[in-house]
Amino acid sequence: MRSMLSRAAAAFNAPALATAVALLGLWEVGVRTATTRFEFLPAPSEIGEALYGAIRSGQIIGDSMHTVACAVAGWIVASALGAAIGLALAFSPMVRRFFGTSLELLRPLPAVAFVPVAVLLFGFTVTTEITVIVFASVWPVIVNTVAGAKAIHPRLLDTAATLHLSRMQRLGKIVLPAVLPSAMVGARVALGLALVVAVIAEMVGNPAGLGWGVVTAQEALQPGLMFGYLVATGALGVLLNACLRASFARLFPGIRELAQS
Amino acid sequence: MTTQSSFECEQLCIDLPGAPGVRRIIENLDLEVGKGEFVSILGGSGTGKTTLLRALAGLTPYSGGRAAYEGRDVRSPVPGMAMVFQDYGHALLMWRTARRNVALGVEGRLGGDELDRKVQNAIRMVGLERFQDEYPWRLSGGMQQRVQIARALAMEPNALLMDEPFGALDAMTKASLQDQLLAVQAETGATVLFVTHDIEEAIYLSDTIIMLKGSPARIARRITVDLPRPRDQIATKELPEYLRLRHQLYEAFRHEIHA
Repeated sequence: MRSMLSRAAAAFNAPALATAVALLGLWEVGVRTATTRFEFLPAPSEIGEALYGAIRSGQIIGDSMHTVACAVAGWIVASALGAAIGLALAFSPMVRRFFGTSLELLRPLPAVAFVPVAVLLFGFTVTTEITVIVFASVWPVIVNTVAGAKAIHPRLLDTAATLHLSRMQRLGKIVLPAVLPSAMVGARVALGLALVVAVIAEMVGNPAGLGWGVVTAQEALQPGLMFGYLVATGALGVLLNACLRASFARLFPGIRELAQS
Repeated sequence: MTTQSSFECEQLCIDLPGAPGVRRIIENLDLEVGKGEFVSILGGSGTGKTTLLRALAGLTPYSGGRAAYEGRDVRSPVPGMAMVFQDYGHALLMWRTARRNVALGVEGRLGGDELDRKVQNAIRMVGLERFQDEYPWRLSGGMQQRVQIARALAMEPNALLMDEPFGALDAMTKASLQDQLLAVQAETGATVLFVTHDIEEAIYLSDTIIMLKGSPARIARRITVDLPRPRDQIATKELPEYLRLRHQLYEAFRHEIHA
């Protein structure tokens, strides 16, 4: 706890905060003096008020919970699936031969383009949302897992051989832990994507959560609330990433990449 | 027990694939290493010392002749042997503490007190007690190499194969690890096959020095080191016999050193 606090203190960046405050101030002044001419551009104070109201009423909390739950559920599926596919691609020439091309063709497909397809298949449901999230966030996990598996140093395999480890022991004690750091890098990228795609899927597929909140606020001509939803989405992204880093560092204290990042 | 040999090579040939095609690294090599003997394989860089050691460890296949350990042909890693690699940074599991690295080879078949005892004994032999709960990447090079040696010792090997284990260490760390290795060998009675390109290290440690030369490599000389044990970094290196061997070996390698 102490180290977390001191790290937070060390990470506190006064000039950056000052810049942000100054920009917000400029925005506030711009709107109040009507220098800016957008009809629906609220001042930061108005956004803050709307956000505070939405938090007090519980509306934005419920929407956040929905979005986070979907993003995290999709991310968990994507991480497990991505790691499994990545390992299979890395270690089985057979899997590479039969599935490599199909995967390469699917990969560049934008996840958003997949939303209408998912809606036709699953309707305007949570299933649609999570399917699209999984589809979008599985790729970085696959790519990083394959890269990690290819980067295993031959000396580690020599070590496994001279210590007479069985195939299963080699997989469990050497290969998987060696792949883990890069798979986790993929998982971190995937979590960011999962949140983004969750919001998009909510705007066009599943009418719920923060994405739908932005859309309804826009349609109700409540720009303060609309921006409030954006602020909440951004804050959630930061929060999720911080939680992930902290839990990885706690779960795997021996991983240098985590301890030093 | 008889004074049976530990390692034996007869007309051993090793070929390795290279960019221009298959290249013969070792040709018609005959070698016999007695049980409990400390044998150094000495040669310039690129002569095939490591290749020979890897073949004897069962890590690199050989293409002709025979390589045997305790009377049985070596085709894959054989129980009773343990290997220490030069690049400890790649050979250690960075996500395991020093102690759990040491346990890697024995934890599969031992448990509880028995495992603890073996691991602690290996850790003691290399003087790693204070650092056993630290991760390798937080340790100095010398300490990391100690972890790797302890991992090999925990297997309680009859033969220890070491590929330039101290090659990447500074002179002081090197000297201290040499002495520790000699003490370990005196305690365990293990056969040691030690690859090095350091002439003085080979003399200081060995009973026998095998000089590899040429391409493909053959044994150019086999030198018996008749220095009293236990050896001492200062006293041993001032003995006339040590200086004579040193002179003889530098002379033999003179053209390679200048090359």
